[in-house]
Amino acid sequence: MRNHLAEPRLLERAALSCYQPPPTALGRTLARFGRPPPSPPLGRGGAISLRRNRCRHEITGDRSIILKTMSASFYFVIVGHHDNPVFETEWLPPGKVESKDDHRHLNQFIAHAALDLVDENMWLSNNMYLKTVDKFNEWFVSAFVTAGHMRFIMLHDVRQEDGIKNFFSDVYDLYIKFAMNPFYEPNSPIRSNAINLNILFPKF
Amino acid sequence: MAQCVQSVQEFLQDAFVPLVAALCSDEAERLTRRNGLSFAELVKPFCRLTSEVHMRDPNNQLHIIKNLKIAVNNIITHPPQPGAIRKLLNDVVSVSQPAEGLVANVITAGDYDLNISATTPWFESYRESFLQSMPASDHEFLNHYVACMLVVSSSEPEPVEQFLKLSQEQHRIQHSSDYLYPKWFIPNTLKYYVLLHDVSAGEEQRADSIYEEMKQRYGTQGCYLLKINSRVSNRGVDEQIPDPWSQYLQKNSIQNQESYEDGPYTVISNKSADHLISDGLDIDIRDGLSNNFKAHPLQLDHPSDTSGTLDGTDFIKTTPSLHESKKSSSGTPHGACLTLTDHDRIRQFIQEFTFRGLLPHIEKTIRQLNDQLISRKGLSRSLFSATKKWFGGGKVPEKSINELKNTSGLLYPPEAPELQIRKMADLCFLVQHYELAYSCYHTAKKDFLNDQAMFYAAGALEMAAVSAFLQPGAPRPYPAHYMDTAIQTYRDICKNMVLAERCVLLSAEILKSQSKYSEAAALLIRLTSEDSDLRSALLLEQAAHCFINMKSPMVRKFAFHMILAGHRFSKAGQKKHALRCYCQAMQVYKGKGWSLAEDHINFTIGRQSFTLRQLDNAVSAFRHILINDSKQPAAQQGAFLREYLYVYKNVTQLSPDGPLPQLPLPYINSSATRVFFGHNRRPAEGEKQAATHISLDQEYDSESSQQWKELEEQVVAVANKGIIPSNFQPTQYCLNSYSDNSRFPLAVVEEPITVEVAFRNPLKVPLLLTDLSLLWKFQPKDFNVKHNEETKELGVCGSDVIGAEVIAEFLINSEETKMARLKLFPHQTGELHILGVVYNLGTIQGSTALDGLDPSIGMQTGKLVSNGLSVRGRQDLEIQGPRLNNTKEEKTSIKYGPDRRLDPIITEEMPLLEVFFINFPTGLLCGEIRKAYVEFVNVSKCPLTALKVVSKHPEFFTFGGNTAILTPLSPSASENCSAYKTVVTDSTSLHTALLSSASSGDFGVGTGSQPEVIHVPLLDSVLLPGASVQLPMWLRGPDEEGVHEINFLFYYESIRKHSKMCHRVLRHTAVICTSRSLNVRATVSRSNALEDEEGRGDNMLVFVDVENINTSETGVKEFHVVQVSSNSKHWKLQKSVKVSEDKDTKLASRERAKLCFKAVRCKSFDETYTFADIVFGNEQIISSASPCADFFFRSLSSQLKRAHVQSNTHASQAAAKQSFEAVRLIQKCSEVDLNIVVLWKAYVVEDSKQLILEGQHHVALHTIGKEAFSFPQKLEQPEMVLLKFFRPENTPAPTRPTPEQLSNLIKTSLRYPESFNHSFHQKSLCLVPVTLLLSNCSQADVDVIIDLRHKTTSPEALEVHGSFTWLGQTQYKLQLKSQEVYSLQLKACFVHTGVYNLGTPRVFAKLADQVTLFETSQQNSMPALIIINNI
Repeated sequence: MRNHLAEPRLLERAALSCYQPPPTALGRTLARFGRPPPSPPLGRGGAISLRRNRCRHEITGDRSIILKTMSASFYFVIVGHHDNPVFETEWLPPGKVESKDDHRHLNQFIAHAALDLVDENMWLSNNMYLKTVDKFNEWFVSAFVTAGHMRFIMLHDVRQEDGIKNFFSDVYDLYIKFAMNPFYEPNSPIRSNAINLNILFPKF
Repeated sequence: MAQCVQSVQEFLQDAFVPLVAALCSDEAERLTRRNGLSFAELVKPFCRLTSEVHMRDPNNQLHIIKNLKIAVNNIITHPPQPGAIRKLLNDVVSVSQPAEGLVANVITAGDYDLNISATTPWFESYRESFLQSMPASDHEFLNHYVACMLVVSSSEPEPVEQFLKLSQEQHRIQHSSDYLYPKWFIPNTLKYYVLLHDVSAGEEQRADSIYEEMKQRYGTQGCYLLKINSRVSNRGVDEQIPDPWSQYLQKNSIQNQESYEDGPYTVISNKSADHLISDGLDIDIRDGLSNNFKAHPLQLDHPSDTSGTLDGTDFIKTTPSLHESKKSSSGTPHGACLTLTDHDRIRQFIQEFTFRGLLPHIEKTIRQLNDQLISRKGLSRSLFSATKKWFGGGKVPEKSINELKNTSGLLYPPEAPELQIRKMADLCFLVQHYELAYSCYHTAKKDFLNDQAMFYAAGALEMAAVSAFLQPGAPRPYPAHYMDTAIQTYRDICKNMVLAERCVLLSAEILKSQSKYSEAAALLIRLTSEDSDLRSALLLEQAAHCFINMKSPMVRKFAFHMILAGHRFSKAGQKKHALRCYCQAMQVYKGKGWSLAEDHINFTIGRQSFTLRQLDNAVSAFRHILINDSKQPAAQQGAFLREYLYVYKNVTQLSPDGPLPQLPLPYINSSATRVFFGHNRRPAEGEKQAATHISLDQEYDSESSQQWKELEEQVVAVANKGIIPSNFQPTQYCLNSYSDNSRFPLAVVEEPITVEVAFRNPLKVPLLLTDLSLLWKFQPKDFNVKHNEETKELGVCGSDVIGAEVIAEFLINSEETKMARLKLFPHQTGELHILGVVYNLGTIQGSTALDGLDPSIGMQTGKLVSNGLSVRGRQDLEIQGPRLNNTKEEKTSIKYGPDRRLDPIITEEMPLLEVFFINFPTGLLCGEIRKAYVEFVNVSKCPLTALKVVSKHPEFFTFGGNTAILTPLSPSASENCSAYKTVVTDSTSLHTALLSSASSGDFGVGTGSQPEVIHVPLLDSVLLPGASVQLPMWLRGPDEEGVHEINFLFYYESIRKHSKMCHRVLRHTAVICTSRSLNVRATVSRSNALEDEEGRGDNMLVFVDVENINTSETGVKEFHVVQVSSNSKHWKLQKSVKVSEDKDTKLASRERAKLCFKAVRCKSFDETYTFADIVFGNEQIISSASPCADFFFRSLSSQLKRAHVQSNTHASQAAAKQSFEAVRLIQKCSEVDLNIVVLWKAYVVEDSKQLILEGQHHVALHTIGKEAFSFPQKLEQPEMVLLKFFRPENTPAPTRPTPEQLSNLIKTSLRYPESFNHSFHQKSLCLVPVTLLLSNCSQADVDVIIDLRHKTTSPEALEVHGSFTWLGQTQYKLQLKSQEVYSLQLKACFVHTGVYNLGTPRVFAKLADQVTLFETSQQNSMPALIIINNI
């Protein structure tokens, strides 16, 4: 299904029609999108969904995970159809902010190299979330492929299945809303603050 | 893995070959040295057997050996040093570079098209050398010597003795405990006796005889006579002999291109190599750089000190030898004394040795071992492993208590039975009997595993796997897990990376042959470790090739591993390989937006290119980093920039005479370039205020520029007698992206040209440009000489032609956009082309250190500390013109017009005017008159003429009329004087008009169609060079309150006419803020009274309302209306009708005064205006003189223009109608052209000082009864109306004049006594004579019908009016000429006393020439009452 359709926004819609949503947060995302898209601007819509998600995590959230990931660092990138980074961000543990500065290109190298495995794995799975697809030194690479073939890649140095999965589905939420913007040209870099993922981060 | 030349079978065979030692006597060595070769080297090319060999295995089966290769080595008694091996491998790799012209394969994978060389010869060479240089190990016998050649020359005195000596020595080497190395396969090594005979020198018989002796002694199969050197060296130099050695020896030779190119730096240790580039940089830079490298992200392994230092020292040690050997060996060909026959002899010799000596020996040994094995097998089978342990008592006793993992130290004694089986396996393997070898290895493996001898087991596993793979027909699949176990054991348990590496190389090649690329890649990647960068690099590169060779190529993995490999290569000092890896990987990352990764790659490419002296590549790579939108932090960008500058500096130093390089930084927004012609304006000097003109500081405003253009068109049209020349172009002093740049701009010689260049610094570090100046090209031309063919092409130099200003320092802060203004001073006429800018690009010393300081501090000190790193370069200014969109072709294609703003033409000298304003106010009351002075200075060397000024607001200022006596008082003298010309009047003349007259032509307005253009009254109309003239100038505050921008355009010409430039202009924008003063409203109405002094019928009443609407915040206390003047062609004010007795009219704030005047018609002389002044004070302001009249005429003309515009819009429709003429005539009679000027004085307190301000307001009265205002009424714009779309209906022009208009045709008045006494007693009828005065107000003849009959409409009316009657004729028909007054004598007859209204006559009027009659009654508004008294 994925490779025949090139136009991502059509694709997201197509996904809605033929994708059987699993009973997860992602499913909820999709179910919500079965309805006509919400009219409020993206930023506010995103914030609403975030608030909802944060509540959910406070209820079910695992304290130990939060503590464990205090010192972890993450790098997240959305990769477009031409292997171009569409959106990049990274979180560093509080103490390491400065020291990692020179290493930032390594994140890109690892994430880029993992694309081969992502492309391979996505045909082997029915899920959008591909779990950990690659590993390089201390980095784990988790991936998520949207119906529109946008690839979300997350580099993390601690194993963190659930948190990342939830994160991915939340980002997917935001991304779809963003992609609905008629002024956004698919595959072009996202410079808007609408996807402000830093809000999402504390729930790890 | 990349493609290899050898097949996998060949590779595996060649990896393990029977080793033969060679022990030469000195003399024999000397013989071979004549060819520049040692004995081992001599035979090397011939070591592969071309024919098949048969051999019998222990079971007597015939076994065919194909393509056997043996290796002959000189005996070296020391195991090779790891450092030496390392160096050897390093050299091997660095020698082998991809061929220059090699066409790379194009691999298409997904979106990617990659150019990759499919082969990696350096890897193959490395692998070969690696396998050859493996030190012999105890756990295997593959590289133990099977045989030994003893070589003696026939020229020795006692060759037989020599053989004995050598034999003894070999024995000593093998069996003495002094020598642990080399290792020997079996105790009784095969000795093969070789007699070397030099054909050219020695006697053949002697050799033969010795050989005979040998044969007797060692048997024919144990010795050989080898005849070499049959060529006489001086003969046949030109004879072409193939040199089979070159391909074998070159690889191992230390001489290589790499070292040649790199010079002495090749062998710097890898650590210092990283910093090679930074040697020339400052300390802090180096720190910055090394920071990058210290914790380099791609640094999988931190530089292990042991290996690093070892490498380093080793390299340095070998440096001299390297160069010596390079010198010595260069140019000496190998095998100079050998003929082709000799080659054949050697080949024959090796074949003979193998067939007769080596293989039988091996066969024999295998049999022996097999026998031993069979006997031991029986034994070992019957014993438990525990007893077996005891049985092989020679083993290290502590083995039993050893842990499994710790068994690597386990050593079997050389003759241990477990080793015998391994020995047999190895022998079988060497002679290609892989089935037997596999079974033996398998057995051995089991034995070793039972003994927990992991080291040995690993060896057996490895070889078992290889021999399983090599078995013909492949009866069993390749046991990859054997290999994996072996690798793991070698690496983890035995810590023997060399052996592990061998395993990986073998296994990866096998897996590759089976297309198991991902397994191969995993294997290769697993072995990358920290102890050897070279190995890691090569393996990673091979892994990368694995990824790209997969069925679905993994391009991105390939790229990543190429990067990793490149990084390792660079750490290993293999710069060329590193560069190649990075370049190949770059293809994947390029242009995808992974900016940090791209920066890293570009940076490395740049650096490696630089160390390899590929400076152009280095520059372009660094350029990429700086040009791309960088996400790097500031420090990193600073480092990049310094590195770039350093590299660039090197480039420029290499070719100092070459063209200046194009610099990438800072960015130039070339379309924002502005060009300004002319001097900077002088700032205001004291009271003097210079004309604003135009400068680069002004923002472009399309509206105002359009205004200026229109103004210039107007003035040019006037200057050229009404016609704008066809080649007219508005003067453009400042060219920018909005101006019309399609023509070459004109600049004047000796006047500067300023170019403003917009620089943008994209980096987060400041950039320092020094010695910034413009780059130009100039073609001198004399425009006066018509045929000027020769154009001298002058270079960019020559300050006598063009002087260029140089900005010493120009700092652009991080991410700042800054303009630089650069000047050129042309000293000759010609064509100038500004090409670009030239500057030194540099950075500020320690940008990070500067953070604490304010950068402006550095600026203030004047000299910014450049850290010496700056390069001189240029950037071109290329401005793309506007896109053309006129023709169809241009619309369909994308074409751009030229932009010539940088190509000015330098013309001859032109006069240059400067204008200063003195006492020029900034704030005025509406209508206020102020006198200022204006000074014109000609600052050029040319006389100036035809000075004109044009403005959109000509009513704002005047230079005074021609009639006025020009008394150029100095500005100070006129300080407190009135701006007006005044005459003291006596009080008798109060309230009566004082008359004077003037024509509008005297004031320079009215006649011309362009009232905006004003000639400046210069003396002789010429301003000589250097001369200055001060002229008075009156200003009148505009009628509307608010801020007014008033544009003046001064136009002037040179006395001499040029072909290029006809005129010049100077702009000035005055900003005047006006505040409200008076509001004057006036109405004129027809006076019904006909009696006037002159007996003329026409007089009118003028009511003037003057209201003080000043809000009194400005300190205006009160206004005095000092004079009211009229000016008109046909009317004049006659006298003031005083209502109150005030002497003059004071108006405090918000007060209103009503003035009433009588106006009469006066004789009109063509264009002469009659001025009538009614003075309220004792000073008459002569309104017909400057400036009062000037402003009057100006306001008049501007009103006329306004009216003209309006009437144009109206008139067009109805012009055809004939009746319109009539209407117009009728309308005209209600028209009046009276203009009222209200002159006032305002008393203002300003700074506790009382000032008297003067001013005047104009009211133009056009229509009787209609109120006119002193300032144009603003039309109330409806706030918001619905936009309606409809077709405009042609509203038909009024064909019939309105009754109201007609009623004004004829003015009637009745003249009669107000009260009439009559004695009704005497006479019952009272007759009263009444005169009906009819006055024709129109300009045409009018037919008048007077009907005296009473309107008998109702009896009531009759009741009121009917009590008197008109006598005589009841209807009169008259024709009145224009302006004619006719008096009609009537008689009214009364019968009673009482009050009667006489206004009953009905007057009908029609225009005389009008065919259609439209008659209407004349209105008689006023009742004409008469009182009839009875006496």
